[in-house]
Amino acid sequence: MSIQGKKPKVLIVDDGDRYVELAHALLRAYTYATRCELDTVCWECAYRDGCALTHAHDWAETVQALAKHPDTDVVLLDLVFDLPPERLLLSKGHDLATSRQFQGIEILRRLRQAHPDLPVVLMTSSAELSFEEAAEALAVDEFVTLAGADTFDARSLGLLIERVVARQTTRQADEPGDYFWGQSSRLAKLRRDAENLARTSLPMVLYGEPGTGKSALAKQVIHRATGRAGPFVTVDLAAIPPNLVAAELFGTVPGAFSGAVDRRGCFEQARGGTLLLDEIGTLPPDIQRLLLVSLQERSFTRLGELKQRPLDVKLVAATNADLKSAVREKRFRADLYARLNPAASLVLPPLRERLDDLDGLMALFVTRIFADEPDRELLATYMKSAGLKGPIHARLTRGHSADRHASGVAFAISRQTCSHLHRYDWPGNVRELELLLTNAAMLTLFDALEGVRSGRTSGEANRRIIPLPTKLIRDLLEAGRTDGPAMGPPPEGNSVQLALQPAETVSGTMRHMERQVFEQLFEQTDGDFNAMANRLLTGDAPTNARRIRLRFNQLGLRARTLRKRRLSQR
Amino acid sequence: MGEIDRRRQLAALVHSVGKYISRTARNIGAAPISAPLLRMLIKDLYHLDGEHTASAVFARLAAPIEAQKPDRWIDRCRVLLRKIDEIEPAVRRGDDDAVHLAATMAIEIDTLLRSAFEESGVRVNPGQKTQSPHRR
Repeated sequence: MSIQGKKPKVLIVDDGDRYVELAHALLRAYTYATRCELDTVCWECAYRDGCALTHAHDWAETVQALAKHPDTDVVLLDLVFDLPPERLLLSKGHDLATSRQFQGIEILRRLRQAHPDLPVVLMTSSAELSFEEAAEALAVDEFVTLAGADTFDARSLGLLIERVVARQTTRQADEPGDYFWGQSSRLAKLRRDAENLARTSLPMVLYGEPGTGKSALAKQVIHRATGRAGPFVTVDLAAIPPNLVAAELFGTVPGAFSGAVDRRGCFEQARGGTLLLDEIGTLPPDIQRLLLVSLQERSFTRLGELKQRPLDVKLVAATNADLKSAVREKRFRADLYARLNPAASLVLPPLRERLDDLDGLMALFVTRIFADEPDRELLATYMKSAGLKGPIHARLTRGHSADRHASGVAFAISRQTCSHLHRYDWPGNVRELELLLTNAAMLTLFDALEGVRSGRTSGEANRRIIPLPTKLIRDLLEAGRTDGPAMGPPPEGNSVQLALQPAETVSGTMRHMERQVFEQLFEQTDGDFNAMANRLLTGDAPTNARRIRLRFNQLGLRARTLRKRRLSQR
Repeated sequence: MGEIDRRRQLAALVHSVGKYISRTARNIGAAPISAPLLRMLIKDLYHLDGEHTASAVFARLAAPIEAQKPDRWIDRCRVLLRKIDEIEPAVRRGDDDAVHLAATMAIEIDTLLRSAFEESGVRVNPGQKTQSPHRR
């Protein structure tokens, strides 16, 4: 078995040899994170009898093995460790027997501090684990899988490992990727400050215009730097009705108000992790008081109960408002502002002030767009239709100087377009740039796909490089501007009705909708392409009519067929 | 011994006898057993805790449970383990019939122990003390 051509690396943590014996006898499609220096696989090793380096037997050996194999994909962890006390992680309030019985849980806790998202398969079943404390530790850990009845069934265990590793691979692909720091010294300082402040217990405040990447900084940099094992939770305070904010933050118990249920709030969901309160400036005054008290007391209560619950989160607040002005204008409590540690606030610069990073960001976004489904599927379809072999990925190149023999597909952006983008002021910041490139790349790829299907694009080298049209990018920038002339309602009679039909990909759905638009306009204009062009485009009429005719054909529509259909319906 | 202690002892039986005795047994197909798997099977059946046979470990861990309340599954496990001990020489030789019979019985023991544990159904708090069931 291999996932993406690489054998998953497995670390076995067990006080005995049962699991490693089984794995070496029956699960040979993996590599193993042993503590041995030899290159040989264990089952072919001359020294295998009595060897104690095949896996980790306790926490100390787990640390050694992971230091030697930082590329470990999954850990198989036993639950019960019958070891002498000096080799056990002793848990507070537990006797020796219980510490042995739950040593796997203790190891898991330590593991989480250093490796928050390393998948762990706990070699036990939920029935054996029906102990309150263990259950609580596992409930908050989304990267733990119980082997259950598969514990010693090699075939099932192999499938389980495969699923866990595949899930992790998908999860990593889903992640927006590492934070892009770029080249500017301003960002380098921001990075140092963010990582240093993350390691403290103090709250942090992030300032920045919309779209500058405050949430990404909180998730990808601050949360990771905290080293906290709990989850990252974000709540957009501006998106919650003011009367529901308290329930969202603190949780509720039945009877708190009409319809209240037993529900955890964000503070509980983020327990042991990081909580991002986005748009903190919109927090209603009464909730500001509750938040202040909670921060002071390091505890909170759910709505409708008296029980104090510990507040165990790294608090990050983000805003694009000037909190200092809000304090002066009495819209934000001064004491809460002070408690949020404003002296150590971080300011994310707008994109127009870091244009040196524009090219790097563009390259990152083009690669990222096609890393995820369903857009990756469209790229795969294009590569298949174009007869392009090799890994499915996209990259950005300047001009047409791309390596025509490189793998994947290159989107070529002209120097003229680049200089236009460098002159733009980017009011929507990084988010606007990402949307622009996503739209441009998708629309261009769609046209390129039609090109290869109709045989208009020949030669592998030409098919590997797809130029991003300058005019398209300018049009998209113009359409995205909010300070331009507003689009009025469509003229009377200039509308169509669409029947939504789900497809496997967004592009499939869009294509279906586009076909309907063209079919209905064809019907409404009696097949007059000039009239259709007038309904859809501005500018030079004859050129537009030709473009509409071309697009009509690209969509697989045939005028003769539609005319015949109209006649038969009359 | 209360219900919670009984469940703890049952958990120990599931872990230290049921799970371990059936480790290799679950992976033996219809084909003749390979030498590495035979070594593992012998270890599971006759050196379960590194020293004692599975029947001996079972007798030790089941004794307090049986003293509190005898049960049919205990008798059935004892019978199966006795049979496994009886065919030890044939299993050690790698006799195909004996190996498959022992494997079938080992899986049945695991199933019986898991059922008994699930039927006991009391949740256990780790703060409550019990004797360590694991000894090597």
